[in-house]
Amino acid sequence: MEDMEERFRSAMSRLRGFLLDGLSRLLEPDTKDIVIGDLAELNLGSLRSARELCGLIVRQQVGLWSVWRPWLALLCIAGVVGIRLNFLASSLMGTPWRNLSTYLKYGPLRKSGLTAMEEIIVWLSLAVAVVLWSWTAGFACTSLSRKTAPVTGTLLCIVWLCWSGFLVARALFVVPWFYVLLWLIPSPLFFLPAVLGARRAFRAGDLSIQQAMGLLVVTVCLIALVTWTSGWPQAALERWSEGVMHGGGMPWYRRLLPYLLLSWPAAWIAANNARHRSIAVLLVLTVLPVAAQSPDALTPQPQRKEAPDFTLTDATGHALTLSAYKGKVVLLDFWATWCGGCKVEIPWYVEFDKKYRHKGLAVIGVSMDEKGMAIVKPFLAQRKIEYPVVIGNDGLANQYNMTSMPLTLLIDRDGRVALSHAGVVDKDNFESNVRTLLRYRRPK
Amino acid sequence: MLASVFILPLDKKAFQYHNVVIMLGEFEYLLLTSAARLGEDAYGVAIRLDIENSTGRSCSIGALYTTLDRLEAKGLVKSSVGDATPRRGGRPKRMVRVTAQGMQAAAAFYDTVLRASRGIAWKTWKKGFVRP
Repeated sequence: MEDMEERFRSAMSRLRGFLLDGLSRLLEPDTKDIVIGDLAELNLGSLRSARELCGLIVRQQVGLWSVWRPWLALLCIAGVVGIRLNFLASSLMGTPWRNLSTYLKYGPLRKSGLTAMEEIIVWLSLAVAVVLWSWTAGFACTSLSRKTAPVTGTLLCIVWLCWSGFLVARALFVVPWFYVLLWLIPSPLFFLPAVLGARRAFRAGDLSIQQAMGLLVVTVCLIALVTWTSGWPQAALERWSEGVMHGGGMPWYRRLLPYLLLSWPAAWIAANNARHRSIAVLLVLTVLPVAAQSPDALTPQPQRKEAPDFTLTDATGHALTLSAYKGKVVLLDFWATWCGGCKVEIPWYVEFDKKYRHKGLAVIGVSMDEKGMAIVKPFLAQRKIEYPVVIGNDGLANQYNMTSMPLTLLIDRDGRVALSHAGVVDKDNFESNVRTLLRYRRPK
Repeated sequence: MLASVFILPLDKKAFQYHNVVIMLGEFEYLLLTSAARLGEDAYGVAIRLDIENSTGRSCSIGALYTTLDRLEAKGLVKSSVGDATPRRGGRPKRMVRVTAQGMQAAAAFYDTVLRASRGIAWKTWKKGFVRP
């Protein structure tokens, strides 16, 4: 009997020791030894020791959370960026499975409009970006949290467990179990790099200036790449629908914004490390023009559609027929005197007209002003517009699928629509497209 | 009891040392006093027992170490790692030394309490109540 009691006591003391040791791990390593030594010297008994230890941990944590950095890490990085990245990674992991299962069930029917190679490039560029963003988020979160990192991590795990619990409950009633498995297994694309980044911040501390700048440059390049490639499905849809679905996609700056949101930790790390923070800010700003290069692509020649023909009277009273311009590259600009964006573009078209007229470019303006020539003529004189301008009508606008102004079309030497752009064009990109079309000579 | 007191340098000499306003709490003062009294033997457990003996109140490890950290951040004490003893399971002690700035802050706190109490005598009137 006594033997049993002795064994029970020793087991309980081992358990208490284990509990105290576990609790004291939440303290700094040097404080931990000192506090455990104090508790041993005071000989308070295990329950009181545990209470004292908890009191110290709580007080230390309250002190650590009284500044803004851990909150920024918890809410803005772990919260906003982390959750968005987790979703993005999960959907990325799901895409190949979905494509594969569709292919196995129905054959190659899926009409995203992209070629297999394009699909792979779009997926890969986003996957690489997600890996980098996750590493950066893990690193920045830990380096901002410092001593509160274990608490932030624990909170995240609790949130993730609750979410998983919800999914399991949902799986039992609503969706097939394999979908849940895809969600439940933490997406390796997000989870592993984030943990590795956090580990790097824990063990080796801050990055050097070169490393931080390198990280920022790579991030900026990836953002530009992802913004660019994410426009492909939109272009493909336009191609596949033979121009019917034009303008339905998002402009580049709206595609860019979520990616900028995901990559602010990289800018934070660079700004924190850089001697001259303005350099970091400048580097971040370079992403805008780089991503702006996400260009209007010319429709491939075989897929170009014949431009609807029209005959209208120009400002000088002569009849102007579009089909008469076959053999020339036509820049057809739908505009109006009240349209702000149109007035931005007109000086560019005047410049193109002067520069490329002798090479075979014909600029034609179609004014949509209801008051007609009465208002257009003074405008032409004021702006010194020398190219022909006709007054358009709703029928013509419908034929060219005009939903908003300005609308600019490039018609090749064969009289087919090579490009149709709603909104203000990117001047350099547009000029390069004009040059490309001018280089093409019709076979005689 | 006093909650916390702003110590403002009053004479010109003190102003040379106190060019910043130091806020010292009551517990911070108790801790500085104990550490100064214990001298070279001042470490976590000894300070705790000294405070408990002098005030008759219990002092938790949490309060002790967070206050010590705060005082150290203000530059009023300096800590070092002391010897390990078998009684402590071979773990080191946190030795505490009051700095010159800490002594000035504690002296200024004491002066303020004395000045504020001038011309007043506290008498216990009934259990749990006091009146001047």
